[in-house]
Amino acid sequence: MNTQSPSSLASERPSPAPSAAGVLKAPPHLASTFIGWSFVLPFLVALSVFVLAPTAAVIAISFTDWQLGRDTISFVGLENYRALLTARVPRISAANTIIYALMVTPLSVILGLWLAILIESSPMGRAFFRSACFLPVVSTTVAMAIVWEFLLHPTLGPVNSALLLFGLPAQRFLSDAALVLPTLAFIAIWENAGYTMVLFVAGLKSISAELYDAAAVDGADRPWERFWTVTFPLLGPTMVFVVIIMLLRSFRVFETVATLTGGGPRRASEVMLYTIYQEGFQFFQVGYASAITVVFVIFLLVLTLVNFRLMDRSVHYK
Amino acid sequence: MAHIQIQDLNKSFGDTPVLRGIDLSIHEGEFLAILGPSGCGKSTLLRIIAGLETHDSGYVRMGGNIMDGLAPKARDVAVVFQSYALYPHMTVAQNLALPLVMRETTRVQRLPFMAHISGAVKRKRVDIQSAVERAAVQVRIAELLDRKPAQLSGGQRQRVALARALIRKPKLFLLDEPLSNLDATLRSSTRTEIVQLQKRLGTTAIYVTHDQTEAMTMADRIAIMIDGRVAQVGTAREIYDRPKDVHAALFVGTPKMNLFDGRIDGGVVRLAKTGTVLAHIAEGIDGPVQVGIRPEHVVLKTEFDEGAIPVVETHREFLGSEALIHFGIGGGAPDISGVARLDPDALDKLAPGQTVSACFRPGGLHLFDQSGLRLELSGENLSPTATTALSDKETALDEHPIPIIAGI
Amino acid sequence: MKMPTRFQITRLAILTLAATLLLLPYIYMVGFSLKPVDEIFAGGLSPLPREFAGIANYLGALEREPLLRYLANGVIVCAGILFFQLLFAVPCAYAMAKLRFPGRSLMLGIVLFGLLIPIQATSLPIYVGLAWTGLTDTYTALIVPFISSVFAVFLFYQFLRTIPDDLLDAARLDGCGEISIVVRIVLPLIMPAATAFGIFSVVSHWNDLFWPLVITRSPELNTPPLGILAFRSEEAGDSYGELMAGTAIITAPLVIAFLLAQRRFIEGISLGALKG
Repeated sequence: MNTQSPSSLASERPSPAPSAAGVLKAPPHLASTFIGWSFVLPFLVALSVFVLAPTAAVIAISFTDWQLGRDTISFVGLENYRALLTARVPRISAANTIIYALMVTPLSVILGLWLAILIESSPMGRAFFRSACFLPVVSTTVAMAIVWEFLLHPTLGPVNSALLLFGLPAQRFLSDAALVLPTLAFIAIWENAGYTMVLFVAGLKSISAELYDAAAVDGADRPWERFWTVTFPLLGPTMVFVVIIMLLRSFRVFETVATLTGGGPRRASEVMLYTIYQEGFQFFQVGYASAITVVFVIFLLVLTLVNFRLMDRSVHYK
Repeated sequence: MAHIQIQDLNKSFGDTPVLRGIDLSIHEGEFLAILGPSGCGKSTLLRIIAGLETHDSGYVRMGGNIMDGLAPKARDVAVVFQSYALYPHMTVAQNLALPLVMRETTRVQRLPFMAHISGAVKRKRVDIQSAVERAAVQVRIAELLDRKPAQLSGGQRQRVALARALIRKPKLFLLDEPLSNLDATLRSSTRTEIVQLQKRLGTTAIYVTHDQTEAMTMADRIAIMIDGRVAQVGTAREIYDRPKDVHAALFVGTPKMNLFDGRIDGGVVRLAKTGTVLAHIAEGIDGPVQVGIRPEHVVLKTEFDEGAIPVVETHREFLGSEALIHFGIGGGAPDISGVARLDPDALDKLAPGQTVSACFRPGGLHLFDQSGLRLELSGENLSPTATTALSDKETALDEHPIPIIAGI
Repeated sequence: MKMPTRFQITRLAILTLAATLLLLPYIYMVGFSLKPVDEIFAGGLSPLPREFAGIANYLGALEREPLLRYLANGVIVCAGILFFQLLFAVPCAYAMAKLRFPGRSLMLGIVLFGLLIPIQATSLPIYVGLAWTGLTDTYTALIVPFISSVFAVFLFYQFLRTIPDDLLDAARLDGCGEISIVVRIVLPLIMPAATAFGIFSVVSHWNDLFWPLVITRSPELNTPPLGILAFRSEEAGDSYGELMAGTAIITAPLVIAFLLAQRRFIEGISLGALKG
């Protein structure tokens, strides 16, 4: 090259190392240690302050009788946990949460699987139906809960109008102790079917088309036969994964309860997160609420751990 | 321009030594190929020279300055990677501009909108722009400047990688198997182009490859690296004609050099298997040796002269401009095999499976001691035996083909 | 395999029915937001208004509560959270995936451990801490508990490990320092993963009720879910049209964003499933 630039630009070019003695810098391994840690440290500090320390604190506080606003604090050992086992509210709360999860999980999973298979079975309208089913997942739960509240309104709601039209008695869905939990579960299924559907679609996509051809050659070519011989067995890992995800999601129910029932009527919709909210943030029984939190978190932790183990083994959802 | 000197360079990954005492010096403007099998440490050496890897002991000097601990960007070297390592999110023009932008402008000048504020920045941007265009013209990718790497063919990506290396006029080019992802045709044309480019720019270049053809056709000198050591440095000719050890001998040349077990006994070199006398030498070194003969130095004949070795053809390959005869030595169960390179016409004169006699051309004999090092035999020391004497006759026989003749 | 047309028709019919049922709440929400009060009180099944009162309802809703302010709060909080999450997570993930330094494997252990801790575990102590420092009822309190996302680090770490080292070495030779590498190379390359994570993060924090409910008191700090709750309690039982208009306004931003980038949203939110 015989041109003037970029040598004309080169005024700031770093000059070559003057000499061995003139090189003043940290040895490379120290330099990379410094850079590595300076990139990691901000995150680590934030993590310690907002995740690690609070996690340790919640366990510590759960062994005390601390109430926010009171100056005294004393160690009470397992007293909070004993109280938890004997008190009425946490027991009801745990039972409700489990019943709720057992209603929401199987139905969302089955509905989602059914939608996924139906949507994926042909390209026609696929994108539209997928998005239509997914819309409830993205929508603000609180806002949609309010819409549901209106839809289920004892006198003005279209749902009861429909019931009356069919000659059925109108229901007070959200204030009838027998109906409130199934109603909340119904809303959750409505919200989550699109979510499980999307996860199943990912699982379905990982099944090779050749397997269906092979099954067809072997004589299983009706949709129902294809489902049982190929789809269902191969979706096994995805299925377990989706079930656990749905259990985790339904254990964490809070929005609809807080919006629609406040745990009522007569604690019929009291769930764990709502109990923690009330004990900790409304009654300021911090020690007691911490104990509930610890139990609740252990609940979630076990499921998450199972989930991680499964994720290690299969990555169908990718 | 740099004179690069590498002294006693050592490097281990954990307990595994990768480089053991590398000594190498590269002249200004020279094109040096580092040739070796995969895993021999050649890429590590390149990365150490570039400053991408640290070494345990020894020195790398450029123009007399020790490079230890100097960051890659301060060394003024450019690397062309095997994968090309083009930034996938940038256009070709942005890929080419980045090295100049990072080097020629300060952090403040790189801020967006600076070109609108400062005249100096604007001028620099214009300069960089024209430098990008010139570099693109040099490697004939001017029309690709607005594309992203994903939209380019393998050959085009390779050119972009070259342009990115040469754009900032480094003191040293380091090329790490830059042709291995190209197809055969493109590879041979690119070979020539890279050499011409390097000669025109006059920049020192170190070229790492496992491909002997690349090394031999492109490089001024070749350094053969085997198992973390430099086995031999020299021109292609030197290495081919006088390999310094058995590994270098085997690594260069296709097909590989024939290697037979032999013995020296009182100045007589014999083939261990048959006891055939191969040569007389002056030096009084006795003991087992390895005898190397390149395929083109093997002469096959239908006549049996005294001292010739009877061999049986086992397999033949016709390659167009030449032919290869694979043979076994020792009649019955040939456990020693070799290969001879012949004129393709010679194939017609040799019936498959026929027993013929083999001898070698003078000067075609390489002797290696038990540790694999070359035993230097000057020409005078090789006194002709019956076998070698035959070769005088053989030159004549090349034209008058009664016997079957190997040769170039 | 060739599908019989009968199958196609049945499939479309069933799916249309299912989709209509799933979309029914939206149809009613929009329909009733256009109805005048007396029509709503007349009951009935039809979501379609006989008399159009849409403008009155939407204007009334906006007048009754500062809904746009709540939406703006949502934007501020979500943007703040996402900004800091990326600011901390990207360099950290880069260092863990591509730099060699002592303590790297320890970091990996910490991150994996952090993945196990649900957000609910930490809310009480963080609340207490913020109460001590007098920070409750501020934007800071809404943002700060979420700034260190282990999930983001994990995701980006996995993603960055697939990027060839040569690319980063090339950048080093081209004169980039490590910070330049993060800004000029890593950040653009990580974009697909960052977008998916960003959508996941924004959707979950936009919709979150628990933490804003706990930590804020002032109506000026209402996030969208709190805002619509405030709207409802304000409304005192009669103007359902305005209430539906309000929920429509609160729901609209995410729904519109979703409709504009459906594939990315589905990607991002199903990615969140990895977290549980």
